[in-house]
Amino acid sequence: MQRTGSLEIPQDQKFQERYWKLQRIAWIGMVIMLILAFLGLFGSGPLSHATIGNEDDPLQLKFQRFGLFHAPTTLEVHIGGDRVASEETEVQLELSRAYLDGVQIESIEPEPERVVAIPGGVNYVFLRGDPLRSTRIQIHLMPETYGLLRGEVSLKDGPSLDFLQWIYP
Amino acid sequence: MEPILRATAVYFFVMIVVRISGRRTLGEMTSFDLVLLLIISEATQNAMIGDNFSLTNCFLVVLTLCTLDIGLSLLKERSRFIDKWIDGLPTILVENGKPLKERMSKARVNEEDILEAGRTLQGLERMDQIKYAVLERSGQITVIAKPTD
Repeated sequence: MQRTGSLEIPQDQKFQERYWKLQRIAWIGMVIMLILAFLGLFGSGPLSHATIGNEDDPLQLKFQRFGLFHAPTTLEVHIGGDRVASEETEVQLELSRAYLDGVQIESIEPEPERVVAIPGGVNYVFLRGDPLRSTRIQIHLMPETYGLLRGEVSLKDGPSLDFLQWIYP
Repeated sequence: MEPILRATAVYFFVMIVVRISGRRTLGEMTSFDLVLLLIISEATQNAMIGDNFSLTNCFLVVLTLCTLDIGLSLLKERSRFIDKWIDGLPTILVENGKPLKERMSKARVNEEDILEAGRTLQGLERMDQIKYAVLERSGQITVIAKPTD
């Protein structure tokens, strides 16, 4: 056993200095992590918030780039008004099967009139009061897997948007 | 499989964070550290159990944590390197009545702490009665008194 003075003690000042130095670096790392978390690296926040498409596009999607396993998150779909007034009062929104396999849909606001299973996904049919005005649909869901989640929302016979979400375990 | 992975992740994460925080944070428990401990246990509990409230899940988590602990202690027994990094080494803070200021500030221990340890452990009144004060691996400060003439 090592001795320091009359003490039998396994002191190792070189190791201790190295450990203290590493500890200070790790403290900085902890603060950086917290700042990043605050900014949204691990969930909601400006870093996480993503929008595809413009306000006046026929289809716009707002979602969180970073989600957490079993924590609620929301897809917000903005459907633009028809330029030409049409009689049609239905909006048909499609979500890809691959995405639905990875999440559990908690609720959809407004509730769809009908839900139709189609090849490659699910078609949600909504009634629209005024076809000239835009509509907003919120899909509240919970990721059931972790890792990269690839999704696609589209309007039937219309534009489609691809998006990627990273789900932390 | 999932509860095992979850418990393992939590075990190592808490170990690393506690180690980074340093001995003073959770070693020498003040009343606030007790609160901190309660909050940490509450926060980690949900992540380990998830939404699976079965007995099996609970058993698996406990089994995982204990097995990891045994495994780690065996590893520490075998490897000096791992032992050093996980449990640290004792550090002498006072030598022959002289406080080693630089070490003390890095270890976040002040003279009050040492005098307090001297009073509670040895009934010492002054710094110059202390021969050695050591910050132990557990985070406790131990004091050896100078022999009285």
